[in-house]
Formats: sequence, structure tokens, C-alpha cells
Amino acid sequence: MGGEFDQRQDAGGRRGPGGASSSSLDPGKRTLTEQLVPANGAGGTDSGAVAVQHSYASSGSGGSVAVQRKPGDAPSSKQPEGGHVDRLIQLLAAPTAVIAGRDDVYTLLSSLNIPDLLAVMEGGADCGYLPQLHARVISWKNPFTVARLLSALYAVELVRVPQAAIATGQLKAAGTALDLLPQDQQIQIVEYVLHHRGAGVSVTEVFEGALAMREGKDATRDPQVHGGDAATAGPTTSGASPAPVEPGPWVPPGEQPIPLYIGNEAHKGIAASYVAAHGGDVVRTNASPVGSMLTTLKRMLGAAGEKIDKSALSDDELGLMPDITNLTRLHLYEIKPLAAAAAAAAKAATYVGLFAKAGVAVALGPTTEPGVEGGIPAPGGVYIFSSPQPGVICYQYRRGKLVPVPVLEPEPAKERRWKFELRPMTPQQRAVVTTLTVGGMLLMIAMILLAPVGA
Amino acid sequence: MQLPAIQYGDWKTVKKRMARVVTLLKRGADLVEVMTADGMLDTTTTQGMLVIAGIQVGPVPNFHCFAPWKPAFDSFAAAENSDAFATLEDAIFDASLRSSWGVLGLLSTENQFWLLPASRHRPLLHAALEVWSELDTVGARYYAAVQGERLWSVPNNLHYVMANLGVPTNVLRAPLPPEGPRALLKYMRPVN
Repeated sequence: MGGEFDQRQDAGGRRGPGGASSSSLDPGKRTLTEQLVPANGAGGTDSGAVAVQHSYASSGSGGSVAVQRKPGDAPSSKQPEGGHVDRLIQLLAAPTAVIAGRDDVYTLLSSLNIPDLLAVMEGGADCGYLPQLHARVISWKNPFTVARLLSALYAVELVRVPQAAIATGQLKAAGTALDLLPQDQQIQIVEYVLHHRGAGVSVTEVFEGALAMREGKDATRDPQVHGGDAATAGPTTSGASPAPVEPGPWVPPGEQPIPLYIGNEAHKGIAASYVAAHGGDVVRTNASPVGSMLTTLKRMLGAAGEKIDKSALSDDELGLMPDITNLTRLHLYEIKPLAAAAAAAAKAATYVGLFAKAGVAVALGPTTEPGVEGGIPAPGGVYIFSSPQPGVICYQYRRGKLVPVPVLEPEPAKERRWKFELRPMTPQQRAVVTTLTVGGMLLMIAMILLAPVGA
Repeated sequence: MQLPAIQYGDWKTVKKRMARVVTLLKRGADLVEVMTADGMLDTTTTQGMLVIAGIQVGPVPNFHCFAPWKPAFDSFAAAENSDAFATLEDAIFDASLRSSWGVLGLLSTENQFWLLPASRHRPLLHAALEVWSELDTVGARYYAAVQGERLWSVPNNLHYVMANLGVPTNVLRAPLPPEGPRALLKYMRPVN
């Protein structure tokens, strides 16, 4: 196809969709367009730039592809996406979008995985092609792929919008598209937004809580897959029937976003369960920085001749806060919703590495420890938690209550054993729980985008 | 029960006050003097939870009973010369034992690190037993992950101290006998 670059120039000598002025360039710097001048000798001087662009816009006829970027842009360090970015820009700049029902932009973007898709769209946006990209993507109607492409487009758009200018309509469209994606892709896109907003701990917790709420909602719709009402929770107990686990009160503090509330309470509740089960151990939870723990360990282990070197860690590392660290047993755990178990494992491994760097052999906490499995009250429901792998405690949020039921034994046992089963809440209990009025993903994006940077 | 007014408010406000308290403590100020400078509040006439573990954010005022011990410890620990604070820590610990609010602060699991020296276990145990009935009369207003529990029902450092003195964990997790925690002394290891 015989595309051409947009050669429009305004009065200030700006050209292309980005409209950046080449006149403002450091003369010593070459634009990427100039840097990409091919070996055929067609360019290399300012006077020849336009001709060069023309010649390389017709890359279908051979030769290297010339890419117009904002003047002064450094070449993308995100190779190999860089090649895709160049191709995307070339296609977007072409005057004819679709030839014989085929849209090469669609073909290109559909072939990419989510991280590459986001990177390529971002590359195009960086060069000023976001309006063209938007127009193209929203024109696509394929129900099997469009949610993915739209979600990525909206994410790239939203992270560029100043906080005060984010429109509800934009958020709603993004949430609607994102709600249609598989969870792993949702996570990748939300992570992209998190990364670009420089989001801190509280927003991550929003993310966690929203994941847990979403998983709970899915369980109600599809109990076969998620356990749903049949979900059970340990620990099995012996003797007299244990008390049921009733839903906790629904009292979100102030204007706190509900997912943040759900995530925070899960962390606090599970940590409290662990502490209760380890009454004699020194345990630090949630809000204790690594630096403070190393000082504590220095006192605890110093007498045994162990050397602990806090200086081996950076200030940022010393300020990190693992969810549960048992300093007596030298175990640690990371708490996450079930859907984010892999992230929990990665984070726990990072913390183990940090302690090792400081000279302390803290291990991933065993899955069989007391206090790493059970059911506890949650706001308007219960948390069911367990340790699926060392160093990880995963929780599920359920709108219901846990009631003890006797475990059926093959032979009469001396003491009856019990397990917990999830039962629905009473209408009165349900009435006090505020439900989300918007899609989970929409709310999550909103919280991320509207939260103060670094919150 | 009377608690220092400085502990009462939303966490954001109390946190700021406590930063000032910690600065003063690091300069050697007396804990009781600093903490009671703004007066005391009666829990029967002042609403809110008595937060002993798990930071409770939001605008609703509560008593943040774990402060200033936790921020003080974190601040001492973060200092280059953290060992230099040993004398200060001893003074703060001893001063804490002289009031029911001070004992309550040390019973917060957030402040377990004040109990690393085993030599502090029995003094805290005895002080806690002394003021237990006062702490317990507050009723189900203690917060540690779950809203509104009685003090014995939430993880606390009385459990920690008793466990380290030989009381089995299952006993500590069971409901408290009517006689209170004194009834559990029989499980403790005898003093050497």
C-alpha cells in the first residue's frame, strides 16, 4: 500500500500529528527520522528530511522504514516493540486505512500480547498518534478481540489524562471493556495503569481488594468453578462444635474506597489470626518496615553471634513491609487474594532475598503452620484463607457466614471433628452491606487514577 | 477508664501528634508528662474504638492506644545508633507500667518489640493483672482487625508474655475464666 507521512506543517514549522517543532531542536541532535535515514543516501540533512520521509513512507516498495517521531525523541529503549511502534505509526499515517476490508493496524495490534500491545500503543501515543489510533480502534467491531484492544487503548489514554480532567464517560468505557477480559489480562492492564501512576501501597491494596470482591462475585455466579456456597474453610477442630463465623460489621472508614477497605481488613484479620496462633512468637505484621525488623533481629540473634548488616539494603528496601514476618521462627508470608497468588509468591521471594542480603536466613513460611488457614469475619461477609504454597496466604472474600459442620468419619472417632461451610447471609445481614453500583474494574481504575500519586 | 486525649482522634491527626511525642521522647522527655499534657478522656463519655492493633484509618475518631510505643520503637530502630536508645527505652517501659493506659499500650501486639528482653515479661504481667479489671470494664470496644471485641479476645501481649512464661497457646486462645487472667497463672513455669 502506498501510504505517505502526514506532511502538514503549521505556521511554526510543526509537522505531523504531534506537531512538535523541529525548529526548537538542538541542532546537534538528530531526530529519529534523521537517525533512521537509510543507507541509500536519500537523507541526512534537514533540507532533505521531507523528501526522506516521502521516500520511506513508501516502504512497501522496498528499503527501510522511516518513522516520524517527535523531534528530539530518543530512540525507544523498548525494543523489540520499537519495530512494532514504527510500523504502527507508518500505518496510522497512511491516508487509506482499510484496503479490501483489511486493516493492517488491526492485524498488527491483534497479534500482540497485552504488555507488547500496551507498549506499542504507548509508543504511538508518544509520537502524537493517539487520536488516529483511537479513531481506528473504536471503529473495530470484532466481539472476540475488540475488548482487548479497547482496554489497552483506554489504559494508554487514561494514564495521559491529568487527574482533574478524567471524565466519567472515559472511565466507564474503560471499565466496561476491561470487565470483558480474562483476569490475567485485566491484571496486566491494571498493572500498567498502576505503574504509570506511580501508585503506592494503598492503591495496590485497592487492586487486591477489588480482585477479591470480583472473585467473590464470580463465585456467586459460578459456584462450580469457585467453590461458591460449597466452599469450606479450615481449620478442622475437635471436640465441641466451634462457634460459627458470622459476617463482620460493614463500617468502611469515611470515604475509603470499598475495595481498599476489603483488602485492608483482610490483611489485618489474617495477620491477627496468625498472631493469635503464635502467642509466644515475635511476629510483625503489615506496617512494620524491614529496617525495624532487622534491628529487632539484631537484638534477638546478636547474642548468638549472628551478624546482621542493615547497610546492605537501600533506604527503599529498608522501608518495605512484608505482611507477616515471624522473627522467632524466621518465616514470612505475603497475603493476597487467591487470584493474585503468583504475585504473592514473587513478593515473598523478594522479601526473603532482602533478608538474605542483610545476612538473615528468613524462609518462606510453611503451609502447615497454625494460623495460616481458616475463616474469619470480613466486612459484610467472611474471609476464607489458606496457604497454597510456602510463603503465601491467599484469601477469598465471600458474602456469607461460615457454620461448623461435623466431618464424616469412616469410623466412630473419639472426638468429633468439624469443618466450616459457607452459608448465605440472612436478608437482614445482606441489607447492611453496600454493594458496588459500578463494575469492579471500573471502580478499580477510578481508584488508581484518582488516587494521589505515591499514595 | 481514662486515656490520654493525645491518643484520641482520626489516625492522621494522632499520627502527627505522635511524631512530635517521639521527637520529645528521643530528647529524653518523660512519657507520662508528654502523653498527659493535653489531659485525659473518659472512655465512658467518649465514643470510639480502642485500637490496639492494625491501623484504623478514616475520619472517625478512635483511641489509638498502641501509640507512641510503636512509632517510637520504629524511630529508634531506624536510627544509625539504635543501641544508644537502650536507656531511653528502659525509662519509657518503666514509666508505662505506672498507668493503666501505659500498660494497655504495651499490651498492643504492635508493641511486642518492647518485650524482647525476657526481663520485662514478669513486670508487664504483674502490671497487667493489677489493671486488668479496669481494662476489661471498657467491654467490647477493643479493635484489632475485628471491630468491638473484649480485650482478651483480641491478640495482645498478655498472651505473648504468658505464652513465654509457659501458658499453653490453646489455653490462651480459649475464653477467659470468670476469675480473669490470674486463673491462668497456674500454667506458668515456676520462677527459677
